[in-house]
Order: sequence, then C-alpha cells, then structure tokens
Amino acid sequence: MRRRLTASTGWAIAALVALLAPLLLNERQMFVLMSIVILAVFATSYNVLLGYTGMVSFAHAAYYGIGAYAVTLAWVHLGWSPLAGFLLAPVAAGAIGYVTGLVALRATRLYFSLLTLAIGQLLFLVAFQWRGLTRGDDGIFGMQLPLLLQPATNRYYFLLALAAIALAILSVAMRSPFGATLRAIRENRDRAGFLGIKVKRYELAAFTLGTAFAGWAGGMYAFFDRGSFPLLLDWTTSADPIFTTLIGGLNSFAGPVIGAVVLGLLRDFVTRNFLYFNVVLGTVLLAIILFMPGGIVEGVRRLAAVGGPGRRRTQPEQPADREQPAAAGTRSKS
Amino acid sequence: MTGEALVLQVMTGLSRAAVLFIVASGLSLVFGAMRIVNIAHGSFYMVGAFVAVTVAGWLGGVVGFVGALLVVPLVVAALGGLIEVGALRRLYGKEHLLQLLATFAFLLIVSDVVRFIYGERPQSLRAPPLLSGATRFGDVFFPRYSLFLMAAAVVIGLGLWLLLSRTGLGRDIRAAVSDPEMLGMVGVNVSRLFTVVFALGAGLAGLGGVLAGPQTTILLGMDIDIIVESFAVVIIGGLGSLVGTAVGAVLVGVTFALGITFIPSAALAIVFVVMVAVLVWRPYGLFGIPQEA
Amino acid sequence: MSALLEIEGLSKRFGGLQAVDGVDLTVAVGERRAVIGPNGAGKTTLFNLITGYLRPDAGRVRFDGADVTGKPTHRIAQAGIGRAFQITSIFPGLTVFENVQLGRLAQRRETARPFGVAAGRHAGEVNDILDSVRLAGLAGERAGNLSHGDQRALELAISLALEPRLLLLDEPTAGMAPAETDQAMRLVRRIAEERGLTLLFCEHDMEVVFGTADRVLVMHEGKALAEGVPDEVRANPDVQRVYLGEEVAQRPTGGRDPDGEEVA
Repeated sequence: MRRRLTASTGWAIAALVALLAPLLLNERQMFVLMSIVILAVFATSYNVLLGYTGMVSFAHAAYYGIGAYAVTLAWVHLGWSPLAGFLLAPVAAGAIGYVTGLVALRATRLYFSLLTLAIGQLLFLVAFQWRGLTRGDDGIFGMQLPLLLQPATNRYYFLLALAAIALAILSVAMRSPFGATLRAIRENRDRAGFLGIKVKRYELAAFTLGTAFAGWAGGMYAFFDRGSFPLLLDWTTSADPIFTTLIGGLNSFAGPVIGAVVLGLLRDFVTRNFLYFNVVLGTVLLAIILFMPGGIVEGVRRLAAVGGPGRRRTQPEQPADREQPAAAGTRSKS
Repeated sequence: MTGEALVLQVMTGLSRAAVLFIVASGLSLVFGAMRIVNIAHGSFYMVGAFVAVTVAGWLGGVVGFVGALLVVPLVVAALGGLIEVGALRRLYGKEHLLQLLATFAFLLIVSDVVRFIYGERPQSLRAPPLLSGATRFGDVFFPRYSLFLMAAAVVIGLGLWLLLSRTGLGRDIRAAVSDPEMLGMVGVNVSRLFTVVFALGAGLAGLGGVLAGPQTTILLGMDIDIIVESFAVVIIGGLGSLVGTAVGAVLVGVTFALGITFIPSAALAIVFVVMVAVLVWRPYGLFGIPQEA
Repeated sequence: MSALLEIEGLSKRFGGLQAVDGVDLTVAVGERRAVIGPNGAGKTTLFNLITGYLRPDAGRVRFDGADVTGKPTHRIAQAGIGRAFQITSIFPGLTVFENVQLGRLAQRRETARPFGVAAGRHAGEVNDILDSVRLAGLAGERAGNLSHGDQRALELAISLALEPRLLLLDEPTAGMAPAETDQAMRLVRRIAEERGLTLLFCEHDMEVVFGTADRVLVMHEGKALAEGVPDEVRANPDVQRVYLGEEVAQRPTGGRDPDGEEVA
C-alpha cells in the first residue's frame, strides 16, 4: 500500500515536472527532453520483453526503426500526413513483430536471442539496401510537420502526450492478469506450462505488444527528427533500451523511465563536455552491473530499507535464480 | 562470369572464412566452456589489428609483420585475462544477461580507448613481400596472402584440435563444455581455467585481427562488424563446436563472397537469411549440442 | 464408490526399456492410493503418462468417465488432475500470494486478460488455500526466500489453486527429515479431507505409504506386481522378495499408531 502511494506520488511529480519543464528550458534542452521522452517509451516497450517476460531480444531497434519508417515512408510514397502515418507505426511494427516473433520463438533463451540478432540485422539490411523504398544510407529527412507541431514546445507536448498514452496502456497491461502471467513465465516457464498456460503464445503476445510500442516510439522519433535512417534499426541501437532498462532497473515499471532520464541527461552532459561518451557509458554500465544489478530503482529501495523503519528484507536479492533447474517432471526418474 | 573469376571469388571467400574461423573459434571456445556470450570479442579483434600496426611500425619491414604476428596475440590475451579477472569473474553464477552486458560495456570502453589512442583515421598494415602478389597454379593466379590465411587457419584449427584432445587443459575445457557444474566437483581449478580460456579466446581474436590487417582497412567500427559476422559463424556452426565453427566460417565467407559477385546489395542479407534458416531448421546450429544456456 | 481414475493396459517404451508395461489401475473417488516400487519400476513414468507429459504407446487413461489419453498437459490439468512436483517448482521471484494466485488465474482462465488489476484478485480463495497449507503469514514474502519445507507447501498450494479432484504427488517427502516428513503427510491428509481430494502418490518411505494409503499398487520393472490394502501388500511374498527385502518381511505386520508412525 505504501509503495503504491509513493509510486503514484512519484508519477504525479514526474508529470508535473514534464509539463512545466518548457517554461525553464531553451530549445536545445527541449530537444534533449524530447529524446528522453522517446527513449522512455522505447525502453518501457522493451521491458515488456526483458523485465516482465524474461526474453532478451537484440532486434528491438528494428521495430523502432520500422515505426519511424512507417511515418516517413507513408509521407514520401503515399503522401500521408505524418499524423496519419503515426497510426501506421505501431501497426506495422507490431505486425512485423508478430511474424518475426513467430520465427524467433521457435527457439528459447540464448538461441532465441541469437535468432533475434539475425532477424534484426536482416530488417536493418532491408532498410539499408532497398534504396528504391528507403533511399538507403541517406535516410529520409525533412519531413514536413503540421504547422502546429513545428515549434519545439508544441512538438514536445505532442510527444509527451503520445508517451503518456503509451505508458498508460502498457502499465494497464502489465498490472493485469496478463502481466502477472508474463512475470510467472519469466520466473519459471515449465511450471507456468503445467498450470495450463500456453507459454509460447504468451511470449508471442508479449513480443508483439513490445514491438508494437517500439514502433510507437519509433513513430515519435520520426516527429522528433523529421526523418528516419537505417541505423535506427541496427542491433547497436537495440543496446539503448537494454542499457536504459538496466540503469533504471528491470524489475519495476518505472525503471526504464527513470533510466531514460538518467541516460538522456548523462548523454547530453557528456557529449557536450567530452569527446568520449562510450567510455563513460561503458564504465557506468559496468559499475551498475557489478555493484547495483537491480538498477537505480532497486538501489533506492534498498537504501530506503536500510534507512526507513518497518521495512524488512529477510535476504539480499538473489539475482541468480532466474536460472531454475528444469522443473520437475521434465526429468523422468523411473 | 568466367570460371577463373568464380574461382577467385571463392578464394576471396575462403580467405575471409580463414579469418572468421580463427576469430570465431575463440568466441565459440569461450561460450562453450564459460557460457558467456562475449560481445567484447570484436574489441579484441580490433585491438589486435591496431596494435599490430604499432608493433609493425616499431620493428619495421618483414620483421615488423612477423613480430606483430607473434607479440600481438599475447598482448591481447593478456588484456582478455585482465578483463576476466577484473570484472567477469564476479558475475559467474548470475544471470547470463549481466555477463553479456558486461562484455558489451567493455566493447564500448575499448572502442573509445582505441579512438583516443589512434584517432578516427584508417590505418593499414602491409604484408611482407613474400606473401604479396600471386602464385600461379595451372591457368589461375592465386593471391598468396589468401593462401597464407588459409594455411594459417588450418594450422590454428589443428593446433586447437590437438590442444582440446591431447592436453590436460583441453580435457578440462571439454569437461566444461559438457557440464560446467561438475567441474569444481572433480577438482578442476575453475577460476584459473576460465581465465586461461578467456585469454586464449581473446588471443585468437587478436591473432585474427593481425592476420586480417593486410586485407582490410583498419578502422573504428571493425569490432562491431566482426562480432556480427562471428556470431553468424558460430550460430550456424553450433556454439561450442570446433568443426561447426569451421563449417560455419566457410559457409559465411563463401556465401558472402559469392553474394557480393551476384547480388551485391543483398550479400550480407543472404548471410542472415542462411543464419535464420539454419536456426529454424536446427535450433542449436549444424553441429551444436542441445543445452540449456 | 465410483471410479475417478481408470487406467487400462498403459504402456510406454523408451528405446530398449519397457518403462511401463500394461499397467491397470482404478482409483475410486476419495481414495488415497500409493504407488510403490524400487527405483526404475516406472512410477514417475506412470505419473508422466497420466498427466500428459508423455504419450503412452498403448492403453487408455479415463478421468471421471472421460478419455484423457495423450491429451496435452494443460488440458489434463484443467480437467482436474493436479500434480505437485518431486523437485520444488515455484515462481521464486514472485510473492507467496502471487504464486498461488497464478494457479487461480489459470484455473479461471483469466491469464490472458490484459486489463483489470491483478493485485489482490481472488484474494479470498488464495488466502483460504494459504491458510490450509499454513503459509498465510508469509503471503507477502518473496517465494524464493522461503525455507525448503515451506516451498514444498507452496508448491502444493499452487497445485491446489487449480482445484484438482485428483492430486498426484511424486515423492512428497523426498529429502525431508523424519519430523518434517510426518508434518508434511499430516498436511496432505488434512487437505485431502478438507477439500475432498483423491490422492495418488508414489513414495519411497514405507512408513508414509502404510500410514496414509488406503490401497497400494506395487510396481516392478514396469509391471503391476501386486495391488491391495497395505496389509495384503505387505504379506504378499512377491512384494517382499522384490521390494521390501528380508528385513521388513520378517517384521510382524500391523502395529501402527493412528498417525502412521510405524512401531518398530
């Protein structure tokens, strides 16, 4: 109960800050904020796979890129307004996510991850090489936005609204019985199967939901950058939501959002003052992996548990027990 | 296309396959024995190529290339050992994802360190005259360096096979591949074994970097390129299998080289289509052993 | 009493090994039936065949009059055959409450519902089950933090949440200390009575078997060797020869206290 109260207070404060921020920020800072808002949706969509269902995909950026291209391609080839094109983004990404997920989910665990790497790179290469459709490496830029969305502040509020809708939908889905079932699958696939849960079907549903909202985030990106380019689909871009989630914490809904704020601000600060962002990011990641594997959210909770009264933890978190031995019954004894 | 051109294209593919085999065998070894998907493997390859440029520069001439060939793998192996002891060791028994992301963090760090030392400018490494030019067999001229790479791959392959089948270290590695949990119980010093395996894997990647040097532009970003290709190799061949790595390397190298000739824009895409097809058909790769990982 | 589970001529071969060989078994409603036999007798395979984890080569499994032979595991689970596992199989990162609740959601076929708040759903029934396995006080605890014995109880609670009519227990006391064993079996018997469950369990511990079972099936090399009430089985010379061994065979039969403690 108390946690829910603090969580809703946290969201309220975050919403207030997000709404009032444009009053204080200059245009460059507005763009930083927009990139954070987009990353928050991208990373939260990824956490449906990683944190809730326990699937490590290297293809998530591909669906993000597909979302961005859905907007720009509809604009270039069909003459659609970006607003109409945006509706296409989650649909296209989700549809391709469903089909490719069907293929990738023939395997499990590591081999699933490696299949997503191959599928993601294949999608990247389509964007990179199919010049007739995508203009290849040049990308598509200079998309005309509706007049109302041209000022940075308006565009920011537009993106903020889109992010709020996405987070609201995902939050409902993850708090629902469906979300609870995904977490159970993450904890023990075999046991979930014995309860009559068709695990693959749920994994595919989670994959499709996650990819659809990656497309949603990609569609937001197309508004932000007024364009799209192949690198958005590359597996190295998939590292963004993974890192964001890891920094914030993958065992909570807010983790990826907090991670997006931290990573976005860090990236802005470092790239403005120092040439070498990767070395900073790598070091931060390594520090989190080694010393705070639950991310910021878990770290703060633990601090609160030490400092605050009445909170009790019987044992330190055990991050290792995802790797349950194959459930009983799968080993025939007699 | 003439038969001769086709033969040359296959040769190009095979010489690429030779480098891929050497690099990917290290990746496969580390995965097989330690169950770590090592993204930083690409960094070891890149560091190998860059350090080779420096070493060859210091020593100069033929001695430079040979010297690099001997010294660089050791340097890179030492770097690998350092990373294993300093960071990865603390993550055994935790989620695989954390181990993978730690290696990813090293990929980021190393790429910036290389950028800091060498800058953005492409570097080049020259093969000694003996290995340059072409040798004629019948009607066809074969590039000597390609032949050299293939010979090197065969030597390394045989060496690894001997190591795995004839030595105590090899026996421990094979034991780790088949059942990592049992290792400690049968009295193997697991942490030393893992350091050695990781260093060996890094050294192979470094060696691959030196060998690839004369045939490629040495450039930032080559770490990412090689890691994707190496993954394709070991996934197709089956993680942890030496024979599989060899078959995968040939398949990827030759497919890519022929793809470049016939449908240049889709060459790499074909490699990934092959990869997806193999995994859907045989989820553990052509020679892989089904296992929980 | 009518039959709840009827098995006819059930067989399963693995390569050269005939793991289960033409076994017949009828379990009546409310019965507590044990399956015993030396290691490799085919007990676990028999359970895997009943629960649909393995497909039989021959024979039929009928549950409550309906043929469930070779049906997928989740169908059989939904039909009312529950199974608690030999190795503790829980959801370690979820709370104790959530573990049991998941069984409830699965039983109600609500797991696919993407709306409505899961937290606190079916709290009444879940707490009721937690009460009966004596875990109510730990409802908010992370399941992975429980003691081994409590995890076994939780495992049982998850199975109960599916509202089975027949509960299969695969060595419910394996790896337990004698005191724990006694407690665990009291729990099982009490729950079976409270919830009107029919029990089918395999077990190594003879005290557990003779203290709990109404009838016993003895398996040997995949075949049903003997069948009957505990005293009959104990007196059967074949059983003594292959399974109970000389030491037990020489002991006088009977002499149990009401809770199944063998008086040695």
